[in-house]
Amino acid sequence: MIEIENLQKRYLRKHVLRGVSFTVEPGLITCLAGLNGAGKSTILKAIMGLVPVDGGSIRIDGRETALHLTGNRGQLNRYRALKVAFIPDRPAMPPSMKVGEALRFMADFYPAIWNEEKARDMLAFFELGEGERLGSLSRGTAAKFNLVLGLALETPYVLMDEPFSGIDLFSREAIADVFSTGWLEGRGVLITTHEIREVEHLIDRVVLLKDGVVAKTFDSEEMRLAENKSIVDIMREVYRP
Amino acid sequence: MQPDEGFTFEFNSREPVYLQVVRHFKVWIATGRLKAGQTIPSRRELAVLAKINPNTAQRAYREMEEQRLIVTEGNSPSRITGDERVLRSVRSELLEEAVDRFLELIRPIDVSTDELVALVRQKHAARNGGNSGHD
Amino acid sequence: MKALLKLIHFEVRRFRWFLFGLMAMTALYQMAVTVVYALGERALRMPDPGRDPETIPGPMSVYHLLSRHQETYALPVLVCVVSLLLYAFLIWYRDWLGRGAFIYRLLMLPQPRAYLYLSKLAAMLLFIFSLLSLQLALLLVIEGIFSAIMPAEFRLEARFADLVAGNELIAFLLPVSPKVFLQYYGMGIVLLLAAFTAILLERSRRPAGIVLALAYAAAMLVIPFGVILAGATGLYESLGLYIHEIIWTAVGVWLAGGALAAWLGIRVLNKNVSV
Repeated sequence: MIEIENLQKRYLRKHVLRGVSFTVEPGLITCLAGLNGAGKSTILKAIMGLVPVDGGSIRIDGRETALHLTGNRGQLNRYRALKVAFIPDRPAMPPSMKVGEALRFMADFYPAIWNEEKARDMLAFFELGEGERLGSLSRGTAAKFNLVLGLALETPYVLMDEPFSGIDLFSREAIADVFSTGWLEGRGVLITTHEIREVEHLIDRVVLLKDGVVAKTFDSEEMRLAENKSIVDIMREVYRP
Repeated sequence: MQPDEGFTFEFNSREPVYLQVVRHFKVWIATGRLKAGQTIPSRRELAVLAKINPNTAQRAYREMEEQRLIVTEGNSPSRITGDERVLRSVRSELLEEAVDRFLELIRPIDVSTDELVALVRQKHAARNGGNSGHD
Repeated sequence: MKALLKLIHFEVRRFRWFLFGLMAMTALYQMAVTVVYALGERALRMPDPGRDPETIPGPMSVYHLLSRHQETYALPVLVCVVSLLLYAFLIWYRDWLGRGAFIYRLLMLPQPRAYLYLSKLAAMLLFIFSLLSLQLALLLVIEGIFSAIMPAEFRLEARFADLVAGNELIAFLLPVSPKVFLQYYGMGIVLLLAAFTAILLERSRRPAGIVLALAYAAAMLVIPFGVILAGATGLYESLGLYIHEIIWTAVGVWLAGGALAAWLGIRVLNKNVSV
């Protein structure tokens, strides 16, 4: 389980996170939702150690990993890398690199957890060729490849930052299809997205961020069962009361 | 059980997805698309087919097992039940549900049962054309 | 450890075309220029009945060739120096720029982040020393070209040390004495470490980071100026230090500065750096 407790983050004047607490359960798909600029992306990056926070705790399977608390000492960078795969909203690879080279890069640096076979299966699923230069891929194709780079790592947790943002419809569908496959199975997934409709039927839990704190957490099926409301309905209640 | 055989799923966002999956199965059973004893896809395959989360597929199967719509023996793939009573009750359940919905719809309209039955008989006969085997 | 080597390999590889370009440019330029000048000097000395024998120059060595054309030979070297100075910064900033945001990938690697710092340092050192080696080799080639073009009667012998001394910039970059070499390049490495750390400070607290970086840079300049000032104001004499004690103190101060820079840089990379 990933336990986020009382996360604080300030950007100069803006107090973006004012004590965010929630958990990411193994085996479930959790959606972190909120308005633009609410800090969703920041939270994901904080979990991944890419951005330092000003306060709070980030525990991954019981071990504290927040930069400001641990100084990222010892094998912590490795621990985090083996536990969590992050799929950012941008390519995060040099544009001059080719698809095949990027795969070799990952295989080289993650020998313990890189699943070459899975990567090839995903490549075939998305119909991606190996010779293409990353910089010349369309946004949709780059997003799909990003998924491959993240999901072929055998980590118990996966973080996805806006996987559907700014992508054409068919690429979005292809990406949504990934959620039904075995590639995410058994893993704790945390996804941020604006396109709730795209994933309405795929999400297990929802965490709603408002004004720097968690306004509501719920199980989507339970909410449908108990109150006959969709995720979008609840969001409307919370963000536009 | 493939989409090109007519097994497509449509979900609304306000009802639990797993229950909607169950209802899809019930409809297919009632319409004879799914036969008694027919094997159905695994949980994983269903997730891909219906484009849902494998956890939801899991939940749907559990629900169907509880309602005795499907049976799973050991490691073999699950199958639709062979139990006639269950199959019949599915059919009646769907019929009743439809009738309830229909009656709810026409509640504001003032109509007698006889008039209603006559109308239903007429419409039903017209739809089935030469098929007079059903009543 | 293996991962560190892989990272160094990666850093070197991504710069290889530029490095080859610099090497090719330097080599071609210096060789071409040597050919042109040597031909010219040979022509000057060709026996010509129409000329006054007094005006025909005597034999010359390649040393003279080099020292007569300071700016020409120094030009490609200068370009290399400036390029490397720029890359000392770009080697970090390129990972942050553009849509690529490769820094995400680097920070997330399962290896200790210190490897990122060390691999970039190692790569820079490899670039520097490979260019220095190239220049040394080129001096030999230049001598070879000169000897090939100038007939023996127009030629004087030159020792290798003279070749190096021929051009001021090259002589500066390749001090003959190992002690001086160590001194210059030792200090250079410490300054490189300081630059790396300043860059990381700048990347750690946007927008205030640049202030931190400049403050750090200023503090790091205290070392050389402090050492020099102390000498100038006679501080050492007043403390009754022997010469070798002064030297070792200076060395110690520099080493401490370098160690501090590396420690701070790696700490910032682990704890404060932000994408």
